[in-house]
Amino acid sequence: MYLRPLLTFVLTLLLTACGGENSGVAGDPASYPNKPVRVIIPFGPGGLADVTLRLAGEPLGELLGERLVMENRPGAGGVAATTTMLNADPDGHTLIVLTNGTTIAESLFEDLPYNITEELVPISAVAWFDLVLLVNPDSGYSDLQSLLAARGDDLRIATINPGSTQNLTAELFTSRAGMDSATIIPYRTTPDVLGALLRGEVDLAIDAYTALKGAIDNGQVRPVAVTGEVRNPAMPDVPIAAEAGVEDFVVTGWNALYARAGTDPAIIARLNSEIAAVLATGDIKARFSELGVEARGNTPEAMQQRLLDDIVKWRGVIQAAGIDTL
Amino acid sequence: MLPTFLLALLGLGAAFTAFSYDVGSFTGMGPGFFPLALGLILFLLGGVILWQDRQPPEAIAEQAHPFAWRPFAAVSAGILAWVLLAETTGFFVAAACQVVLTSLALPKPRWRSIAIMAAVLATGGYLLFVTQLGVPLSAVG
Amino acid sequence: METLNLLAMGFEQALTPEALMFCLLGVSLGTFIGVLPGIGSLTTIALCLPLTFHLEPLLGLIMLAGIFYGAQYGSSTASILLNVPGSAPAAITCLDGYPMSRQGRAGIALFMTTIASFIGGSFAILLLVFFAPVLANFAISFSAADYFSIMILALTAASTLSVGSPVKGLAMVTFGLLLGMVGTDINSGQFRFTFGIPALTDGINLVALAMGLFGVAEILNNLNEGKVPQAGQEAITLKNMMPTKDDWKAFRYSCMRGSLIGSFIGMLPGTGPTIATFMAYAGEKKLSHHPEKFGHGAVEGISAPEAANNASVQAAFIPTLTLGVPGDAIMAVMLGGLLVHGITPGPQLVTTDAALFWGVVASFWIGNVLLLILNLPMIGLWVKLLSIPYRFLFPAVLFLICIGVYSVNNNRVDVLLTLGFGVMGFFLNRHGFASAPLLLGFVLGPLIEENFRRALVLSDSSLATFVERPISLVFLVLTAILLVFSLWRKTGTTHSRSQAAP
Repeated sequence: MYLRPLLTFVLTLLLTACGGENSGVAGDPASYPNKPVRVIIPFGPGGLADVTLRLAGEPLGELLGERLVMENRPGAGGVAATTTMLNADPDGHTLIVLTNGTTIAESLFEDLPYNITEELVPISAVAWFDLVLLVNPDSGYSDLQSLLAARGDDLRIATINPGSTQNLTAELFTSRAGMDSATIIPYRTTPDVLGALLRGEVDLAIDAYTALKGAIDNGQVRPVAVTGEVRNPAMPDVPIAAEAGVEDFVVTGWNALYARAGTDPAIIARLNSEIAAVLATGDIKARFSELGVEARGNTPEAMQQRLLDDIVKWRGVIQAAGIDTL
Repeated sequence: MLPTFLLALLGLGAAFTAFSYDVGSFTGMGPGFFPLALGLILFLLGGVILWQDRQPPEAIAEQAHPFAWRPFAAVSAGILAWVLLAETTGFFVAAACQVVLTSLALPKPRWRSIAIMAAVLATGGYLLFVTQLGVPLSAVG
Repeated sequence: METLNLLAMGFEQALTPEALMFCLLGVSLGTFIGVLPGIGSLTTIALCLPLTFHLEPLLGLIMLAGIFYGAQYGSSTASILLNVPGSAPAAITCLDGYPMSRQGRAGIALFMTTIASFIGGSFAILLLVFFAPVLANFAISFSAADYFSIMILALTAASTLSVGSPVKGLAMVTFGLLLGMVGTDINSGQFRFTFGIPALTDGINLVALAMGLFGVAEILNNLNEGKVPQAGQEAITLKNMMPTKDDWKAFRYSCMRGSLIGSFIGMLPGTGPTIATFMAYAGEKKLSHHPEKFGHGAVEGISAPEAANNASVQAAFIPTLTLGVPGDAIMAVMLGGLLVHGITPGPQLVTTDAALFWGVVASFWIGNVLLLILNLPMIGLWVKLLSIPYRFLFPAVLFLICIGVYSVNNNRVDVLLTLGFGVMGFFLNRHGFASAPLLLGFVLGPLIEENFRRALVLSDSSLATFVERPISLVFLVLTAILLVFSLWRKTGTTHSRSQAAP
């Protein structure tokens, strides 16, 4: 009796559903932006990518004339976020945050249904951060070399979970420092890593500067090296890896904004210059450095090159370390 | 009977899959050791339960209320509707479909009440979850 | 005393009109969210985080914290009234809370869980105020071997969770342990049971599992039986909210024990309220002289878990605030909120930003008081909810479950999993397999394996580490005692029965 109305209902729905696909419109640079801009973040709220983009998002929104709306789509490999991104129109109103974690995911997840190097185009980098090598201040080691010499093959390094930037950095470290028989012990979260170091279970911890800045500042842990290319201004006395005796070992984490391929280049150029303006302001620079990150933009070309270089770099590390891939 | 059998099969399957991961030894466990052990235990337990429950099938079926297709199908269809429609057709359509379909679980659906309920839930849900809490779903499409 | 001075200063901060307003806002929102199945405090806090960026740090933190512990008050409401938990830890409250509701004692159950929540929360706050540094250092000293032994003790608790065939209960625990293996192995990075699906590499979502197993399965079961659950329609007055004298007797000590267990588990980073509530329940059942009461409306079955729930959630702040080390994901999000304001949490927070620290601590207690005041009158309202015809109630609950589970990760796959687990739970329940042991196994599995393996790596493959470390030894001994005790009791009863028979 009610079958017919039900069927009509369902059919209408299916038709509406089919009509809901994106139309692939590239967007008009003159009127851009004409509605709020979605920023898809492949992590949950409160994380570094989230916080830096929220901080930068406000002034950026003011410059653009439309506000930026953060959309968290966490999920392994950034798949959920990227899929959402690729369903949106390439008109510049939907952007996505990529990180060096994305370059790692490229190698960890080999059979993804999309190709980020072809389907996404860079706008600009937003934030850069170092990783730090830390020891327990009570352990008596004054620098990295003395630690390596004393511990040798028994060296134990704590990092967060396998496949993370931190963990892969540790793998890279052991091979560059010639300590291949060192044991890397993964923990679930940064607090666990901190705990391990404080308990003396491990000799060395490698984590992002931001994550352990508090512990460093109040002396709970002592940094013996930073992984960046130059010394970190917040810790001027801490040597870079090369100065501490480990050659060819540079790791810098980054966040960057990307758009869909096919977005009008004028829109991308505008976003790039507005982002550069925002990142140059004293307020943003100060707030970012409180977090332990550096606010620095770059050109789309430089960003893409960096992305590609990192993919190659981490692929090498993953294969050498024998980490499982999907 | 059937669930037990399926559980035992699942255990065996898990153990089999786990075998392909590096098993290692008890003091040097690889990723496969624990799942392998658990899978085997589950398989064995399944066997024990099947042995304990070895009554004729009719006796067991009497213990549980007979299975009714309608509510099962309605609830499943409703939730599936949400899963399929939420991101494509928008919040209101997905919510409405879900409420309508699940309401079909009970006989003699009162269409007017269902329509009102669908409208109320969809609107209220939208206001709370999307507007206030910021869940990223659009209202329509 | 220095502490009391600081506390007074904190109260000063927390009692300003703005602070009170945000506290009220936070705890109300939290309670409301707690009642709703699926959506939990993590999601809500995460979603409200941006709102706090424009507020003063203290106010923002007060509100977020209010949501967090407020949710624990509300989550048992749906468990008791509908047998559908508001959150995973509240699943345990279904076991005895729902039977109480069927017996017409819903008002009493709600009243007692509210009081229990208050006591549990207050106890943990006292610990936080007076012993935070000591406890934080104690908690952080727990190594992998210690965690393993605690989890093993928790695992034996699982045997208390099933009503009926113990073998089936064991099978469910094992199944749960196996489900916990899905995802990425922390010790090696190996993807396990993911079958090429990236969404599974993070493991199965706990909320999806809990809502499916307990929420969807329950509704499927009710609809299948054609039984429409309606409690009595009498109005709820203060009189029939009041527990009897026997109830209070059962309540008193179980509440204390729950608070203790909850606080202990809560202050250990990485454990979570689910384990706390399960252990509190199991503890009560093991210690009880009438274990057969459990599962049929035993007061201890709701008072201990509820106290444990709130205690664990408040106690989680101990390592967070004193060491800057978040006890779990929710804390991490809140700390992220602090970072945006330029405040770096850590031990120095207590000294350099004492106003913030003590203001937050004082607001915890105020929040709990507010929750008590808020929740008690609402009990009548909630019970009234039961009089809504089931034909309207169940679609609404299913709707809330769908959007609630979705909102955790904005991922449709989670909702699909909820359906899957609901169907699975439904069929398993019909054949005498209980769901609670599965949930416990799921939560404990990864922790047990991870810590066992890590303990061995740290001790260079020496099994002795589990008995050499004092804390680990204590818990292993406790586990052994518990096992012996249960066996002894079992043979004791069969012995006396066989004597009485002829």
